[in-house]
Amino acid sequence: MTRIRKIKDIFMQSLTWVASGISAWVLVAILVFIFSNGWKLLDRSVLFGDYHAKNIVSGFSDEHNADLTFTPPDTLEDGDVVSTRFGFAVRDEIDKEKNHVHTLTWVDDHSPLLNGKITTAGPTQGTPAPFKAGMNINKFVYLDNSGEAITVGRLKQQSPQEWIPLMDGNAKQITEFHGKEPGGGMRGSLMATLILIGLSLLFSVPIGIFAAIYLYAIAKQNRLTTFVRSSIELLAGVPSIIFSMMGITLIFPIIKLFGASGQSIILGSLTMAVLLLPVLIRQTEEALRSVPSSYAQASLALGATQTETLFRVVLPSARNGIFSACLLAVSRIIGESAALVFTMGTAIQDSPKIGSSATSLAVQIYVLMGGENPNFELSSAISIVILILVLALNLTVKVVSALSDKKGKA
Amino acid sequence: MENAKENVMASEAKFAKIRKRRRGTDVLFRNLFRIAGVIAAMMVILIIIFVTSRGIRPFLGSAEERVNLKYFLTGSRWRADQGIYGLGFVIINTLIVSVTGGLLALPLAILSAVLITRIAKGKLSIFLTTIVETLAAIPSVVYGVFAAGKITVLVRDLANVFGISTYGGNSSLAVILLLAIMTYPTMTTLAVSGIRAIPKELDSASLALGATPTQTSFKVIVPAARSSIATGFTLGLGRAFGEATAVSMIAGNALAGPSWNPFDITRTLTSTMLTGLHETSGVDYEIRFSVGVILMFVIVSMNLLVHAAKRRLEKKGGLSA
Amino acid sequence: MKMKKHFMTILTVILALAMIFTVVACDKKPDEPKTTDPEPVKTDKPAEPTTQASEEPEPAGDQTIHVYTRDSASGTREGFEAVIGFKDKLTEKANEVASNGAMAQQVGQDINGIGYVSLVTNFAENNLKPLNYEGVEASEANVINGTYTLKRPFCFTTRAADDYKSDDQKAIVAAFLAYMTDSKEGREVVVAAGGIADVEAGKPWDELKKDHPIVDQDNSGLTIVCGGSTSVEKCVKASLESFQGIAGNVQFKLDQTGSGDGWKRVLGDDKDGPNASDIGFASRNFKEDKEPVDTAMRSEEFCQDAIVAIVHKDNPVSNVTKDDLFNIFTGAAATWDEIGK
Repeated sequence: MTRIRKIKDIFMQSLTWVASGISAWVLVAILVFIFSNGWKLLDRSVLFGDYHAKNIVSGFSDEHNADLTFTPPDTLEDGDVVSTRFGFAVRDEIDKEKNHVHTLTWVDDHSPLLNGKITTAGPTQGTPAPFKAGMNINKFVYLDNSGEAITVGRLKQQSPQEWIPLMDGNAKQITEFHGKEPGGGMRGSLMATLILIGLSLLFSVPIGIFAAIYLYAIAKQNRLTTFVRSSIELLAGVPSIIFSMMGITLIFPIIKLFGASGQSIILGSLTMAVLLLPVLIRQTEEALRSVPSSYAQASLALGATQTETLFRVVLPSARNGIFSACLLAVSRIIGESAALVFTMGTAIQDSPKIGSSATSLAVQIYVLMGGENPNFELSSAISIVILILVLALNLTVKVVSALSDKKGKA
Repeated sequence: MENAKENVMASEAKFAKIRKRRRGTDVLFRNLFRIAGVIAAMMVILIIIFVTSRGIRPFLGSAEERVNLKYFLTGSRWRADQGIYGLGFVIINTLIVSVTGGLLALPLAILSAVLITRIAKGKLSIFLTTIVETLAAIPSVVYGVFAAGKITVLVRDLANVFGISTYGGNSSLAVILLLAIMTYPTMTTLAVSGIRAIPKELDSASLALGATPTQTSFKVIVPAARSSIATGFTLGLGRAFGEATAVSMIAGNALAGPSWNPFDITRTLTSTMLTGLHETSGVDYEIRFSVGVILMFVIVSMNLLVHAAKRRLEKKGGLSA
Repeated sequence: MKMKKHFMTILTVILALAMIFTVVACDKKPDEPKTTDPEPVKTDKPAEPTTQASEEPEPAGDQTIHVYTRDSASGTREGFEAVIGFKDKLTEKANEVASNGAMAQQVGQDINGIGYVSLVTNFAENNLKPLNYEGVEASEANVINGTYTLKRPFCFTTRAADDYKSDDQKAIVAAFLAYMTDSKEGREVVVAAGGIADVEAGKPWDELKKDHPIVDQDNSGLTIVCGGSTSVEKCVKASLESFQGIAGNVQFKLDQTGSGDGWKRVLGDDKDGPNASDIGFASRNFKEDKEPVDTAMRSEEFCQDAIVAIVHKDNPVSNVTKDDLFNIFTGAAATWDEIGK
């Protein structure tokens, strides 16, 4: 009997280990997958670069490029095609968005490529636009010996092996250069996410805290309170995709009165504000309840009014809890996608504006996965950023609550 | 004397004024709080009203554009291209994947909770809790990327072992696994807090009667915490039903069903809603709201069902936690 | 007591299943790169009598074909269904995917999958093999010379001439369309991005630009908003990017959702709605009856695109006929053996 019991016990115990082991294994698998796909891509240009490539058109006016010969450095790799006449090297590669590009890998310090001036109309017209390693070349326009303008480059469907010798051999003078700074960055989405966080909290935190105070201090045990409580409970169970429909049917007509034209960050943040209410209310109420009632009683006994007591005594004592609630709300915003797809749109923007559509980081992933060529690498890179942000926020919440626990005990 | 009296009266009047004003602020703020509370409470009703009013449009329009409500609720084909909208099989598919996913996660969650609360001590317990919390914190779109790159491959290989060919791993099974992973943290957290809330006496009594610690854990503590476990299960199911982005990346969108074979592609309510993403007007667009209404309805009825089951369990067991 | 016992039994069974699954998963992990090999799908059926030539590897054979199709708003789907001629007859077994990218990714993971994408898709990156259609390779040259017939036009339409936010907005849209559609330089960009257009027949931009003085001023305050077909995105994005540099840094916004929306967002119900756009694109011709474009400022075809039937790269099939595709997509041919006959 006892032996069977023992075996059974050990069996059940090992089952618990297996169960937790599975969850740990899944977590590790997710992290490994995301990091192995995205880590090598994650650098400054991805984090703070534009998503859309920035095209630059430069013109050359002086006849500097007469008869120079450049020697390439030894650091060039196989596949780099060198123009000894103009002092640069180019390689054919696949960029972050999986397109063929001709990337400059070397530009000599005396290369005429450094002397171009922007021809695009506008305030920057005429300013120097040196072409540096890392940029992509779309095409060159040069004048040949007979004075005819010839276009060469990727846009002519030529490989570097074709067009560089052509240009080196025939060009009398380069007149135009079309290049671009590669895109594929997430800065725009990062900014949109920040704006979204700011606006959502602006709308939902006051309402959330006030509603929590209502439930904590004012609500009596009556039907209304029960109704309010169960409604908020129900709201917490509404899936986020339904919130996005609410955004379209309920909030859009309202903000349209104020001149909003459509899917926009403001619509997205109002939708998020509603979505966050249950989280904020629940956490804030809990924080308020954890304030010893003696504080409030003491304050009231000293003659403070209820409002004063709430704002000067109870809320400040609960500030750590409320802060944690806000951080949790922020991490929810960062991770949310379904509620934003219909309300904030799916157009990736480099300089997001409140009144027009943009994508948050999470939505950018969704867009990338559904785009012309699904982009696991960039999606994973963005996922890493999201994960780091969300985990850091959760950690901060833990630290804050640990600190306030300590304070409470001391 | 006169002067002093006047002074007192004046200051009393001043106090009265201040008191009045303070009472005024009190009333003002009290009302503000109340309004905030009511606004928060109204949201859910507004959501139901507005989404529903939009969702019934496809069934009211002119005769040629109208969608047949009965077929919408029971139909087994979703052919937007032919104007046939039968959501019945989608509802069944959603139930299958969500409930199976939840049931798969439930035992894992209970076992993990037992390990965290009753077997592991100190740092280990905190470490295990951190794993669960980290899983809970991962946004769904990240799960989606993982699922599209890894879970589908895993399912495809598994199917190959049995000689079954799959749509690249996009299948009910992939969705079930994904949902099991995504619901596991919610269930575990609730189970842990449920077990922690059980009075020590219960534990001691069981041990005193000669039960081993493991026996106590599984035969006394877990049943006593079943109320929290059931709540966790409901919350997890809610997440499973409503999960959109990740699921739509791996569900595959079957045109007819229901799909009983776990290796077959499926179509869930949420994946149907996201496929309509590319429409902005017309029936294909409006029908999305109708699907949303059904989704809300399914979630609410599922909640009621689990609540009823919970109540029955509680009555039978006579224990409450 | 009895209930508890049952509970524990069920629990254990489910757990055991979960464990088995994990073990299988773990076992599979190391040789994962190999999983795209044709081998795993080979059935263990006894070797068939060698009536057919057997030099070719035969991964698919009697395996069921998995049909992938696009959502009903897709212009690629409309173009494909129109050429193959199976509208409304699509098999019930099809898997409907929401975008060109999802199609590429999913067929690239499915040895028995067949789908169709635009020629601009990067096949190698997605593990795909483009199929020849009626023996003709899908290439730009073959579309221009008319031998590759599985193709469709890329079209645009615009808001009515008096329906722009401002005269500048109207002028910049007109300038962009002239650049993309008429100029040599613009066509070059479209072609480099995978569209098919006759570059040599275009006019030099220097000449065209005289009619569009707006490009010589600072336009960074203007935004060209595009909507409609997702297939055109790559071409249009490339055109807009290169147009920026020669048109005073004009801004743009691409919100491509599907051909069905192209007309709606500039002339239809949605033209003043949340998704209002300046230019609406479709990867098919606009439907004369449902999408009248006569009020538009400009409305025409700007390039062509080949639709390519795709399979997994290890699939031995390399050519399909119109009948094959018809049979596959209507469900008449369920296995790979049944096509090519």
